Amino acid sequence: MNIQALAEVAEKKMSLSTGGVKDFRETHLELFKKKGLAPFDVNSYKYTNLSSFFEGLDYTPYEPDDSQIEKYQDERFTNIMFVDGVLQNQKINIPGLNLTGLEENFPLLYPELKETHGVSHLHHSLLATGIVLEVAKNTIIEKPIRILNLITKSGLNCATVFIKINSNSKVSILEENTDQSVSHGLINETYLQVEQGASLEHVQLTHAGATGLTHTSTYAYVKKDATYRSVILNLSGKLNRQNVKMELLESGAHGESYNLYFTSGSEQSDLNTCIEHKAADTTSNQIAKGILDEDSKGIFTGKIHIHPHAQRVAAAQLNKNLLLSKKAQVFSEPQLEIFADDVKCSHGSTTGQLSDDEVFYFQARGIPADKARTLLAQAFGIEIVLKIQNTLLKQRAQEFVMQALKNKFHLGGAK
Amino acid sequence: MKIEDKLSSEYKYGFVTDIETEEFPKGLSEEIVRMISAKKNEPQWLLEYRLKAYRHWLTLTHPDWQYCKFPQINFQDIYYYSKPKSKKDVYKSLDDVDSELLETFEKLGINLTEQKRLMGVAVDAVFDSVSVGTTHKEELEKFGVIFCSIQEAVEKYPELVKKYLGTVVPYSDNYYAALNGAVFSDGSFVYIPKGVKCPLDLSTYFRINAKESGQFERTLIIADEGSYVNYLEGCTAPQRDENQLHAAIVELITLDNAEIKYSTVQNWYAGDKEGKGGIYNFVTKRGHCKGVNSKISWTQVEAGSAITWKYPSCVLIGEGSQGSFYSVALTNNYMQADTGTKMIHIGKNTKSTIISKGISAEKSQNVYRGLVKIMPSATGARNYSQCDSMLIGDQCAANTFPTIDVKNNTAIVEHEATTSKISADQIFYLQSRGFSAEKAISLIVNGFCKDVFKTLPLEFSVEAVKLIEMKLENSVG
Repeated sequence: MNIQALAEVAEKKMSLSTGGVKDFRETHLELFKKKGLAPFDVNSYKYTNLSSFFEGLDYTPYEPDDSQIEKYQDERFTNIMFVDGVLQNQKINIPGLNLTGLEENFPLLYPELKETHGVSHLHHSLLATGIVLEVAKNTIIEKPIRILNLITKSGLNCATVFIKINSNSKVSILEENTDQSVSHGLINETYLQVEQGASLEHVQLTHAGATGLTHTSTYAYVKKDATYRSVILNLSGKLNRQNVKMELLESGAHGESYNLYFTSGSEQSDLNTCIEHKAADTTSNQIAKGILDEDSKGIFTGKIHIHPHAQRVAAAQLNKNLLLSKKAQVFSEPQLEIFADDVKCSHGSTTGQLSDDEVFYFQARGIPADKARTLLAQAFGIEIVLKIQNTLLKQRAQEFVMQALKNKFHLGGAK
Repeated sequence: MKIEDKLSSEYKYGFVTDIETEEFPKGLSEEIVRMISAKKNEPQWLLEYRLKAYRHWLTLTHPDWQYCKFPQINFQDIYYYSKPKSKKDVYKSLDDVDSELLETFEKLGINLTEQKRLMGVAVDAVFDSVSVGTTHKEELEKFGVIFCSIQEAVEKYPELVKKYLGTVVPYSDNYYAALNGAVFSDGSFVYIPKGVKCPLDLSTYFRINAKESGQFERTLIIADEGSYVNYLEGCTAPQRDENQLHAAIVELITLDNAEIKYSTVQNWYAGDKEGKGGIYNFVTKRGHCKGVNSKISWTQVEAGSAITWKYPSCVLIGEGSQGSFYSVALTNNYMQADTGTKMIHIGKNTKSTIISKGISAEKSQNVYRGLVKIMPSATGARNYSQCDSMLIGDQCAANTFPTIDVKNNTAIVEHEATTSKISADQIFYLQSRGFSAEKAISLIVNGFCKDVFKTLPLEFSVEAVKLIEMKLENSVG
């Protein structure tokens, strides 16, 4: 699908919007027509060819299918569901939690135009549905919120989620992307605003079918003394591109970014993170891990940017990759940009295979090699899952990670 | 007392030698390339190489990915050839060299006259576009070691030069490699024959003197099977308000079981406190470890230049070959450094080590940029990288951009980096034991750089420590 065809899709959907949203979409459609899929920063997409992302996709209008909703509901969570990019008509009845549509809240907080990728222009021009989720002040929401993106049909889908956590509130949110094994493209954008003293735990779990293409962007704006923890688990999908931008705007803001990706076959996972320390006394911690098998590719680009005058900042970054096959490839590009002097920054990157010595150690204690390799791979991956603090979310993530480890990789022996 | 207030080191080598020079007209054209070639009595094949490089250069545009900012260079406003005027075109021996020149090098601490020369180091001294003298030639010849200027090598050993020149850094490699390919002037040529451990350390000293000129030297070192050489490089330039371009190429080749250790102490003029003047040091340095178990080691102490933009690299082709890179880059005032290395692992069981230490003070920018690439054929490859940055002052910047591409699962690649400011606790601790703040900082910085300094040959190590001390002199509190 070329730029022209994609633009036509957006034009066809334009009538779905009115007012500010429509203007916004039209602006971005024009920019998309002009600039295409070009990123604002050439290097950020050098390993992922986006034109292949849209190949072979048709856009077919969605027809609601209520039977799907029931099946995917999970009582343990407060469920919000998008099916094929369309929000299901759901009412939420939880004190302190307010769910509205995009139209009522427009214009919203978007990054500057000059920092907008071509894919974002496309996303904005297709923007038909989305939600704004607001947590009132001084509220602790016990039940985790689950936002599910379910894809049932082949096609290109977009979803937008805005989340605002007002001061001194606390909530855990799970965003889950999955499909019914259809080839599709999903462009997701999530914007998070964590106000003073608030705390947000945000887990993104993608377990799409073998042909699923997912492009997710997360923008987090963290205010004074607030905490934002992002845990991203990309367990399958033909191509996963994940952009994470975290801005620590005021002193005391704390950001955490934990990522785990599994790839096998010819899958590709491209993780691009940027943590901006814009104020003094902000801290961040980042760990990204990947397990790669067969012909798959893993990319990690992680920037830590410490702005001038952002003194007394501590930022740590670690990228670890485990290669299980001869043909798997890893590209790791950590970047530290530091413009203040009273800082503590570190980053590390390792790439290697399972240690024969460790497997031997297990064997010497009566545990067969295949079991030993599975245990070692589990131990490698589970570190990220254990960073999740909400028990329910942790359980759910653990189930998926364990299952993926079992089904996805050949840990039985030398491959 | 503030650290920044005291940073005001003087540049010791900023004097100009008043010597009559012979220059070609300013600017770059096919005519100039032909003139340089004719001046050096070069054979046809070399002229053709230059012309090919020049024509290729014309098709290129200046790269813009680097992290340093500088005004567009006007390549037509540079003298591409400048040579101290002398009765003879070629210095046959040191007796032909004018006394001013010898004095210049003496002032720089480089003694070219045989009787006074430092024991154990052979020196090739390059002044603007020509080599003025090489010491110890006869002694080296006994061992079959060739150490002379490139120009002389082209005359005397054309086969060797033709066989290796441009094989490591072809003119098509990058913008400045093409420029150098077209207009390169003197540089050193070293050939170490089979099985010879070079009895002396070899050294080249580069001096830019002429105004508005550029230095485009070319160094080619070949270590034949089982040989070893320790090579040192030093550089200085006068203090001037205009920026001057230094775009050199260094090519190293090691065959089976050979080893080259290449050390640089770079102290080009870095510009004044306001960032005016200084050398643009845009150099391409690369080594091919062609043979089995061959080794190349780069050590650099980058303390000068307004802008340093270079990545000494190793291509590890031979099985079991090893590359290492040790670097200290110190920037102050408005200096900018974008430096690092590339390690390309092609052969089996190849190993590489990268240790980089960056120190930025005042308003300077210090960037480490590195690439570690493990090709699918590099089974059992191993890399270890460590890059640490230290910040002195709150207006400087330290950036780290490593790139790691692994295409073989048996490879083990490790990278770590830290950035922090100079520790107030450590300064206090030393002060409480009677060291002045200045001495304390100097000790801490030297300790920070120790991993690199210890790989330098003794004389250089002493010089490097002094250089860092001098740069930070009056600087810290």
